[in-house]
Amino acid sequence: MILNRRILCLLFVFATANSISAQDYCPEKRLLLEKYQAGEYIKAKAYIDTVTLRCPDQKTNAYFWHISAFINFNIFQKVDKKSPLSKARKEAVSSVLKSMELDKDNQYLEHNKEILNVLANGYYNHYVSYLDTNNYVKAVDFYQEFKALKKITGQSVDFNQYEIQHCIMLAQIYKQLYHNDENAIHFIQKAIDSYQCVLSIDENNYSANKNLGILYHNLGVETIMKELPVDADLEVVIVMEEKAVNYFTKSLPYLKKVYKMEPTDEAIVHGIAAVYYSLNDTEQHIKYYNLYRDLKNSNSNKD
Amino acid sequence: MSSNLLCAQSPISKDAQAARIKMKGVYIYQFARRVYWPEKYTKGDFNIGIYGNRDIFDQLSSSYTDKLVGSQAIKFKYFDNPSEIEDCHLLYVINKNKDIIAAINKSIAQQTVLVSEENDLVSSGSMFNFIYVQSRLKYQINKTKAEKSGFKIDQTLTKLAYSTI
Repeated sequence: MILNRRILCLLFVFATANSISAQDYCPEKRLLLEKYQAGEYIKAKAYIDTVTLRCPDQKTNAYFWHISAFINFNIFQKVDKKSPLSKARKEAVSSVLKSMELDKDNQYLEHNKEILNVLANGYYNHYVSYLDTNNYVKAVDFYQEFKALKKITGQSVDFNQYEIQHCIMLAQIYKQLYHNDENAIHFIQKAIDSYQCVLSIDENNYSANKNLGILYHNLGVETIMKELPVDADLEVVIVMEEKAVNYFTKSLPYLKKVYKMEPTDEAIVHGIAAVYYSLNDTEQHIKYYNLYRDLKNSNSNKD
Repeated sequence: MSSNLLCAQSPISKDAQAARIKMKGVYIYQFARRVYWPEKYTKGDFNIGIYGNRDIFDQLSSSYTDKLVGSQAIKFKYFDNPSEIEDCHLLYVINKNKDIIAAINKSIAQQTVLVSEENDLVSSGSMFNFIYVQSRLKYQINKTKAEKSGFKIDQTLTKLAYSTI
C-alpha cells in the first residue's frame, strides 16, 4: 500500500512533467497515466501497446517502462489476486528490467528496485507454497526467478543459505517421489545431487551429511532387497553384492562426519552400527551398537 | 555376532538384516539347483531344513516355498534343537559352535547337504560353508566330500566358490 501510494505521487509528478515536453508529446501515454491513476489497470495496460505503436520513441523511454511495470504490477496484485500463474507479473518484471536498462541517470532506480524486490518476494512465497511432489518443477522456476530478481535489487542477501535450504527441500521431495514410485530410481540420484549441492556450499552441513549417509546405506539394502531376484544366477548375485557394498562403503564417511559433530545423536550412532553390520564388520558393529544402547539408556533415564 | 543384535531397533536395521538373509537365501537356492543328488532323491518334495534362526527360516520359506528344483517343489522345515532334525536334502545350520555342527553332521543322512556358516569346512563336516571376505558373502565347497557322497556339483558353483577342497 505504501509503495503504491508513493508510486501514485511519483506518477503524478512525472505525468505533469512529461506533459510539457513537446518533443515527448504522446497523448496515448497521457491517457495511459489517467487510466492508471483512476485505478483502471486493464484499460491502462491496453494503452501500453497503443503507446508503443503510436509513439515508437517511447520504447526507449525508461519512464514509460517504469509506468508499464507498475500497471502490470497492479494487475498482478489487484486483478490477478497475486496468482502464481499471472502473466502480468512476468510483464511487470520485464518492464522493470527494460526501465532499469534505459534509465542511464538512475532516475527511477530506487522505485524500480523496490518493485523488483516486492516481485522477488512474491516469487519466493509462491516457491514455498509450490514445494511439493506435484508442483516442485514450477516451484524451482519460481525460486530461480526469486534469486535472479533479488540479485538485481542489489540487496545484501545470503544466497548460500537460501540455496542450502532449497537443495535440502528438493532432496526431500525427490526422496518422496522415489518412495511413491520405487521404479523411479532417477529421483534418488536427484536427491543425492541435491545433497551434494548443499555440501558444495557447506561441506559440514549436518542434514546433508546425515541424509546422504542414510540414503547410501538404504540404497545398498535396496539393491539386495529389490533389485536382486530371489532366483538370480550366481554371477548376478556377485555383481549386485558388489554394488551394495559400494553403497555401504560410501555411506560410512558421511555418517562418521556427523557423528563427530553430534556424538549423542542416537539415530547416527545406530546408523553407523547398521552400516558396519551391512559391511559385515562385526567388531565395529558391536562397538557402535553398544554406544547406541548406552545413549538410548542414558536418554531414557533423563526422561 | 548374533544377527538379533540389530533387529527391531529401526527400519534401517531390519532391512539390513533382511538383506543379509536374502543373500544367503539366493546362494542356498543356487546350491539346491546346482548340486545333483543321486537319482533316488530326485522324486517328491525337495526338503530344506533350517536350524538355529527362526528369522532366516521365515524369510527363506516365504521366498522359496514351492519353487522348483528340477521337478521337485521346495518345502522348508524348522528345527529348534538338534534332536529334532529330520532327513532333508539340504540342511542349513546357523550355529558357529563346531561341536554342535559336528554332532549334527554325524546324525544326518548321507544324502543331506550340510550348509554351515563361518565355520571350518573340514572339521565341521559341512559341504558348503558361508564366510565373509572383505564385506562380501562367499562360500567354500568341500567337493571331495560331496563326490564321495555321490553328489555332482555344477562347474559354475565350483568356479565361483571362494575355496574348494
